[in-house]
Amino acid sequence: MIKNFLQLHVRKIATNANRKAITLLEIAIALAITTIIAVPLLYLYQSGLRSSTSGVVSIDMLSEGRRICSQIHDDLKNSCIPYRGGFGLRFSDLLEADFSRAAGLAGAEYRLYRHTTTPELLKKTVSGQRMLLRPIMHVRYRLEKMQNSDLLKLVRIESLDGAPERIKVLSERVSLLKIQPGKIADDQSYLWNVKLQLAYIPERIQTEISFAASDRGQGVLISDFYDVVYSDFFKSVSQNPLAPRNWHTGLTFQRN
Amino acid sequence: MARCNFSTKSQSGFSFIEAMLATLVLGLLAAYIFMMISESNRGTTNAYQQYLAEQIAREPLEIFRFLGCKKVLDNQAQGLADYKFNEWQKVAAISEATGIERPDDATKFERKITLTPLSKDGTEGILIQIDIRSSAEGNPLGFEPDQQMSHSTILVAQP
Repeated sequence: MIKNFLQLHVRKIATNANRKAITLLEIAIALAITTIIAVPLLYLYQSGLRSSTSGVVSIDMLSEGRRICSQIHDDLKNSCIPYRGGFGLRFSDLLEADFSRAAGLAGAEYRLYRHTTTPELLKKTVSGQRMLLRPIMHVRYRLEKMQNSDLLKLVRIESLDGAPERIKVLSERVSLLKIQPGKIADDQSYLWNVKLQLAYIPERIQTEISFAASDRGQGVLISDFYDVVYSDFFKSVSQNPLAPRNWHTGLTFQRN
Repeated sequence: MARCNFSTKSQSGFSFIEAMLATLVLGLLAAYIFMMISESNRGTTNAYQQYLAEQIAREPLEIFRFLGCKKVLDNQAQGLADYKFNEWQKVAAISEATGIERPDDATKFERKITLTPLSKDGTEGILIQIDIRSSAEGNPLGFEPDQQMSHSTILVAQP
């Protein structure tokens, strides 16, 4: 009786032990199923991550491009020529494009004078006459080459009489900035056409391609911006040659 | 006893229905993630197209502001530069008349400039409305064929 019980018990333990173990075949099947499920999931995750990154970068570039265009628009809109005792005005005097030290676009500079946003007037003596003049500041946009990148850095340098220069980096992913004059209908109707291009080269392909040879199809993100803007000052002077200019230029005040 | 063991063993595996349900859940999850990614991409593109449409609308307004009310009124019948009035016009990458260069994506839009002369107490003015829509050929994302964007301004003649 006892012998029979022990035999049955031992057999039962052995059977249970056999049933709880995992065979090599079961592990292989489990691994295969896991792989079949995990590979597409991983691919999905990677493409989602890439897509999400490019979405964030695109939105960031859009916001950056709009900000730069808005700044350039404001500068060009308020562009003027410093008063030096009577002047004849040409549209080309308002903006100077200097490519003399540039290699390609790197080193190029756009320079202009503009009115400040503050409504104050400055007392100045010009040719022996005491005058109230609206203050102006000098603005430069400079494109600089960056290390380890085909893209350019765009810097805005602002200088006002008696104040230190204010330097601001506007972007580090500029691939094109072009400000060119355009004529509309007659001889005196000029304005500027601004073209800006920002680009983002993902790290994984940065070493493989040079920006000039790349395009959107290779994973490079490119955003193009454009704007059209005229100078308020030029408009007032060109359209009203006989009108007093003091509302804008400050050729106004003389008291002995 | 042996039959009983066999029955227990078969119950411990997954049934076909269970496997199908699991696949369905996984499929739905994957489809949802794909939809999210695609929606995110569309949102990004929409934002850029929206910006571009705004710029295309602002461009003639800026030019007409420079030229002034009188000049626009004088050229109401024949158009100004290459801006035609009161009809839909495709946006070109480069304007032949003014030389203005626009991004390539701008060619996916059409623009209509509507002029309405105004007059009150001897003062003349003009209401300019710019409508932007996607062109039929290259419908940019985010702008459905029947969807439009409008900008308007009033120019008053100088006294």
